Amino acid sequence: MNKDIQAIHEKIQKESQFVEKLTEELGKVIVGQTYMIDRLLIGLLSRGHVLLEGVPGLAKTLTVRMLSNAIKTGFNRIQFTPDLLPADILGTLIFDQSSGKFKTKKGPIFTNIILADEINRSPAKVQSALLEAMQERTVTIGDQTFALEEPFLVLATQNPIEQEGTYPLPEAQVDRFMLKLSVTYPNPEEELEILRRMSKGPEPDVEPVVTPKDILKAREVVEEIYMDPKIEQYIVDIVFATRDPEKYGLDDLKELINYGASPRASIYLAKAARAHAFLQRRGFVTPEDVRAIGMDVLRHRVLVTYEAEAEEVTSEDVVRKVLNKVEVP
Amino acid sequence: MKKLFSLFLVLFSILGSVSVYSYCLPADTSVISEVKLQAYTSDTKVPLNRNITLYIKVFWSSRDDSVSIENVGDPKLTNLEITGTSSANRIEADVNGNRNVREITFILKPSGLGMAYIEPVSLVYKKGKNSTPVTLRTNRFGVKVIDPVPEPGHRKFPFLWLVIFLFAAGSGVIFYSFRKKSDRFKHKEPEQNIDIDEENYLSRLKNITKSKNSDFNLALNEIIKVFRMYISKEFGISAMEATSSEIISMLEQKDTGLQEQKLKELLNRVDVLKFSGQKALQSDVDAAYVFVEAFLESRLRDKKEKEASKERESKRKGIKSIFRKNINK
Repeated sequence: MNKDIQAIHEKIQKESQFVEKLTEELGKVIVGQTYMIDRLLIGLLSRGHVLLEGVPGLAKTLTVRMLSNAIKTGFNRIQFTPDLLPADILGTLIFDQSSGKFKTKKGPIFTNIILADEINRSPAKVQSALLEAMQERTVTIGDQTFALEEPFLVLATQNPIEQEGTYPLPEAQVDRFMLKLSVTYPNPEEELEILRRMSKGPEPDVEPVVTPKDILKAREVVEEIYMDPKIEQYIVDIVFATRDPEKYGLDDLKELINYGASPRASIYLAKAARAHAFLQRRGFVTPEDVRAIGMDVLRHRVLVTYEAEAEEVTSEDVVRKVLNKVEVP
Repeated sequence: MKKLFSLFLVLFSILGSVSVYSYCLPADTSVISEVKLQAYTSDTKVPLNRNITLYIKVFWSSRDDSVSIENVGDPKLTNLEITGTSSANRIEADVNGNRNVREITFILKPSGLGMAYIEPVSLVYKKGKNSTPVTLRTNRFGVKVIDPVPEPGHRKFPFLWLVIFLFAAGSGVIFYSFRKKSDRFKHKEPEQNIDIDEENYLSRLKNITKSKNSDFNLALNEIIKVFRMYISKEFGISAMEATSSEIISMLEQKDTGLQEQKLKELLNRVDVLKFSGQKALQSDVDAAYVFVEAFLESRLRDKKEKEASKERESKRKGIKSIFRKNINK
């Protein structure tokens, strides 16, 4: 096992070199937001889609656009509006008069990185069309099924403050996102740097420093990262603590949790923890990796009761308490 | 002669008319010679549990001493009864001079709901002893008797305030219990136990090595578990639920006497052995054992020294007090 770990370690050292180049290149345009960039990379490495929640003006769209430019992949931004139709995303069949046949017109989803801006502004049928593609990584138009090119990543954004006229994502759909990030304001030093960079002159751009092949190779290495059975048990304990909190000494959470995390949470927690270990240049997963990524994986999967809402207890509070209570191996 | 007689007749007529006129007219033309009667009620509506007042006023000139007013009889009433009467005389100024006023009041109480009537009241007066009595009459008054009104100081719903008080008290209890529940949701650090038995932990440590377990990974886990349990109790930190890096940062803030660099190296090494699948060696177990044992023994030594110095101090104080007593004697 020692040799395997050593081999994985060497592979990680080799395949993770693009991470520094990528973060350095993104740093030329994006100031701060290291948390968001790290989590986007985790999503990219572990084939998980990411839901970004934050107020306008936090460089969510800019970060995603720069990321796709730096990776030299296709990128499409779809602004979700109330009048959007599924065909506007997936594509449709168009009748060609010259040939007398229907031709497939592919939609903007046929790219590598999709930015679904303000996903909660479109009705459920449009959301479900996108989410089906996210899950299956295929799109069916008419009687033809098309596979989506890897790496395929959907990054969706939500505005937490403007809820009027929105269609909140149902819990079952939110569950399809591996990570939900809460993007926050920059600190004063970062904001000063942003002001200096962006308030004059042309908007800076990034050069492509990574190829999609690098990402795919890195994904293969991520999947090889060793996860000890103790870590697997730790992940299961955390997820089960959200379902049966009283069995883990969290009796006061019993009345506050409506629904705990699903088995998908266990899968995504394991995948994301591996990706986090990769970014730390480690060939094995530690409890630090699980705790570092736990909040982002679980915050949108734990549903609280009305009593919790009345007490102003959020799902984040519940997850925090679970992570602080479950014994670390 | 005829002229003189005519002149005499004219003069006589003039004088006669003047004398008659002066008899009819008082010397002061502003003085009223007639008697006036005035009557009115205090209101046209009266609640069933209230009274109404009938005012009868008689006015005549103060200069006319010949006027004599007979007593006014009780008025005839329908749906009313007399509960009180009063009479008062006064002189008041008027445009025509002073006048006498006799005011007679009747306090009337309604008997039932509906209309009540006050029949005309007669007043008889004479101007001179031998003059003909003159009768004056008031109008007939109609008064509407309406529903009774709440008495001052009497509450319509006496239990309303009790209900309001109970509701406010209940709301306060519920609010307090909610606050208590949300307070208990706050993360509480384990209480620091001052009565830690280091010898107990040392004996547990020795039992691990005595078991002669060839599974060094298991032995290493047990040694670190003893260490974590001890620092949880001794320093009041959640070491059992924290990762190695979290434990290190928590202990940095406490006066532990630990060599932080050595602790960091040990915990990192233990994490590698625990989670990478790597086999631990005897030397790893020995290094961990020596570190934890030395730490526990130093803590035990420090506590014993503190207890001994406390004893010495208390003995010294005891001797001093005895010495002082002897001196005082």
